[in-house]
Amino acid sequence: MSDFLNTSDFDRDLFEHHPLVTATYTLITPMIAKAYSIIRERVFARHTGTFMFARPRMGKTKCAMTIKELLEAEFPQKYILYHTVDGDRSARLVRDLVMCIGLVTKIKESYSQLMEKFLLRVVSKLEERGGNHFVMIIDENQLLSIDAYNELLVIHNRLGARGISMTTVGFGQTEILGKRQVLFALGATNLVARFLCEPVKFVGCLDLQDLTSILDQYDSKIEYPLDSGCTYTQFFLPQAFASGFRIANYASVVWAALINIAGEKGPGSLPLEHIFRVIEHMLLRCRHMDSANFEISAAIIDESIDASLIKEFVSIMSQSATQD
Amino acid sequence: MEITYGRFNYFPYESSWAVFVKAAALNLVSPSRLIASLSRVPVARYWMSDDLHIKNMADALGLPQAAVDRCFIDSLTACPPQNSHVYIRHCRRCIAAGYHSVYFLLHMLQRCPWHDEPLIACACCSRACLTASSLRIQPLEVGFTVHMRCGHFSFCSLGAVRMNEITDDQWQAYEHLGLQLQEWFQAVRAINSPIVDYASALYDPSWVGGSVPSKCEQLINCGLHQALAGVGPFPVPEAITVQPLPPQHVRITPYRAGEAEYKFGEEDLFALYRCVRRYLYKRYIKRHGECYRYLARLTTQGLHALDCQAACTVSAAYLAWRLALRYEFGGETLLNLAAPSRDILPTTARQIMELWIALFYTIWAGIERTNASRSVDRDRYSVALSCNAAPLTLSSEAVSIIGYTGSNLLHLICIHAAPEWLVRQAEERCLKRHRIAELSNSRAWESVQFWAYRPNPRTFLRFWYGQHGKGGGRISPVVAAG
Repeated sequence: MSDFLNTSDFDRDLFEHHPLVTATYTLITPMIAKAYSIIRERVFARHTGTFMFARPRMGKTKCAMTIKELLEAEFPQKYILYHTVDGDRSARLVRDLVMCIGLVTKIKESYSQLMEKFLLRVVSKLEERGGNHFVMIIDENQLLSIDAYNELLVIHNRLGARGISMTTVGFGQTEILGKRQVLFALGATNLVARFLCEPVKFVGCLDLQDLTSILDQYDSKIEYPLDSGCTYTQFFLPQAFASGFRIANYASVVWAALINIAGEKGPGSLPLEHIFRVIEHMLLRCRHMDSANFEISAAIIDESIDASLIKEFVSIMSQSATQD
Repeated sequence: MEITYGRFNYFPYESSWAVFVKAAALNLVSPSRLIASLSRVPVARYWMSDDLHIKNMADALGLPQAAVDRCFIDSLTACPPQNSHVYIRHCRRCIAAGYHSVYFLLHMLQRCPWHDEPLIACACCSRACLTASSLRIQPLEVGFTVHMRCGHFSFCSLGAVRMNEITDDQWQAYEHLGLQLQEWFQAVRAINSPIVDYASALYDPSWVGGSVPSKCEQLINCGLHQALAGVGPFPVPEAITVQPLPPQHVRITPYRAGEAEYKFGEEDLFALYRCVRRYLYKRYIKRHGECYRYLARLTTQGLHALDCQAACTVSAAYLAWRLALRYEFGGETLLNLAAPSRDILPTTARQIMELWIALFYTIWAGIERTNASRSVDRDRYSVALSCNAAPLTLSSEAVSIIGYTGSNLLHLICIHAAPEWLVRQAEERCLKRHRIAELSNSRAWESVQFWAYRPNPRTFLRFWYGQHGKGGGRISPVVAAG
C-alpha cells in the first residue's frame, strides 16, 4: 500500500485531483467488453461499416472513446480516428473532420482542398504506422445528414483508390434506425449497405453480475495515483478496506434498489451513467465515516440513489416513451 | 494545431526551410502561413528558433523537440541578430534526393560535406518561405500538385507522401557526419570569440558565389582561421574554402600619462610626415629604389597600367601611401590623418605616426593579398581611396582596437600583416622579374594610352593580369588605400 494513505494529514490536493472527483476515469465495464469483442472482430475483418445504438445516457460516448483506445492498443498499424458529429445543418463533415484533427487551415478553403488535406493526413498517418486500414469512430451518427454520408462515401472511395481500406464504426441513439429507413426510402441503398447494415444494440447494466463486476473494479482494478497499488475504494475508505471492506459486497443491495426504480420496464431502462453516479456518491459520502468496522447502511444507498437523480431520469424516459 | 508531416519525412540535420516546405505541401497551405501560425514575433525568421514556438512546432509535427531544434541554424552557431534574409543553396545530389541540410544555410560552407558538390544558390527557393505565392498549389481533376518554379520541389497529393529517396545508408551518413559537424561548431562556439561566431554564421545575401571577394568573405576567412587554430581541422576540409592568411603583427600604442597632446595648426605636421616617410623609405624602399624610381616617373595613366605578376608591391604601396596622405579632399587639410574612425582623431604625435605606418602596412598587405588571389576572373584590381570624403581612415586590412574619450584617442592597438612576411613576398617577386619595364603591363599600356581611358583621381594605381581578356560588366577588386 502506498505511503500517502498512512499519513494522518489529509492530502486535499490529491483528493481534488482524484479521477472519481473529476469524473475522468474509465472503467472497462462488461458492456464495453461485450461491445469491443464485437467491434474488434469487424475491424479485424475490415468490414466497411457497423454501428451501435442505444438509448441516451447508456454510456455510448464513453464506450466509443474506450474502444478507440483499445483498438489503438491492439492494432497499432491501423489509424483510428474518433469524431463527434455536429448536427448543425450548415456543418460539413469534411470541414468538421479537418477541424476535429486540428489541422492548419486557411480562412477560405475549398471542399476539394479540405478533402485532400484530410486524405493526406490519413495516408500520412498510415504510412507512419506501416498499415493500410483506417478506422473512423463516429459518435452521434444519427445526426449525420445524407450529404455527410455522401462525403463519407467519397472518403471511402478515394482511400480505396490509394489502397487503403476503411471501416466506419458508428455510435448513435435509436433514431439512427429511423434514419436508415429514410435512406432506404430515398433509394440510397449504397449508403446503407456500406455504413448502416450491421446494427448492434448497446445494452446497459443488465443484471446483478454486471453490477458486481463494475463494483469489483473499484475494489481491485482501478488505482490512484496510477500504479500506486491503491484502489479507489482503498483511497476513500483506507481503514475499512484494511479490515476487509469491499464495495462489491453491497452489489445485491444496490441492485435491488435499482430494480425497484426500474420497475416493470426492466433493468434495460437503467442509465449506466447514473449507476456510476450512485457508486461515486457512496464512496465520497462515506469518506468521513471511515473506520475498521465500517459498513454501508441502507440509508446511504438510498441517499446516493436520490442524489444520482436516476428516478427522475427513468420517469422522464418512460413519459417520453408513452408520448411516442 | 496539427501539421501533417510524418516522421518518415524527417531527416537528421534537415533545415527548417525543408521542413516548412514539405509540411506546407502535405497540408496544402503556403509555408508562410505555417510559419505565421507558429511565430512568436510579427515577422518571424524561419531559420531562427528564437522567433518560433519550437515546442508547439514539435507537437504539431509529431517530432521530438530535440529533432526540431536541430533544424535551426541558431542551435548550431551564434547568428548575427540583424540578419533578415538567407539565401537557400542546394547540393545538386542532396536536393535530387529530397534533402536540404541546415548546414547549407551557413555561408562558410562552399561545398556539400556529403557529396563534395558546390552549393548553388536558388532565388526561387530563397523566396519559398517568405511569400504566400512562392509555392504553387494547383488543383488537378482529383488531387493537387504543389511545386516550385525552379523545379527543386514538386509534390503530387495522389502520389507517395514520402518526399525523398534516401536509403538507410544515406540516412546514417547524414546523421553521422551531421553530428561531427555539430560537435565542431559547438567547440567553435566555446571559443567565445565574436569574430569567430560572426564569421561562422554570416549570411550575406549580396554575395552568392560571385567572383569578387567581399568584406564579408574576408571576415569569414579571418574567423575561420581563428576557429581552425582554436578547435582543429574542419571535419570535411574540402567543404570550406580557407585562403592563406599572412602572419599577423600587433602594434600597441598605449597612452602615457603626461604625454603632450599634439596641437594641430601650431606644430609642423609635415615634419612628422617627413620623419615617417624617411623611416619607411630607409627600411623598405631603399632596397627597391629602382622599382620605386620607375613608378615615381610614371604619369597618372602609366600608374593605371601596372602588371600583377611583376609588381613591386612595396614600392607600389609606398607610392599609394604618399598619394593617399597628400590627397586633397576639397578642404584645407594638406596632410591626411589615418584616423581609426571618422569621429576619433589621434591625440599625440606618436599616435599620428603609428597610424600612418599602420596605413602603409595595410595598403601593402592589401596589394599583396589581392595579387595572390588573382585569377582569370579577377584579372585586374585597383588601389584607390574607399571614400571620397575626409578623413582618411585605416583600411579593412587592419584591425584597430581603440580606447577613447570624446573625440580623443587614448589607446591604440593595430593588428596587420607582419612586415617580415610582406618583405619576403616583395623580394621574391622582384627577384623573378627580368627587366624593370616589366612593371608595366604592355597590353594595358596600350589600352590606357590609346583608348579613351580616363583615370579616376581617387584611383592611384591599377594592376592588370596577363592578357586580361575579361568580358565587361564584372566588378574588379579594390584595395583600399584608406
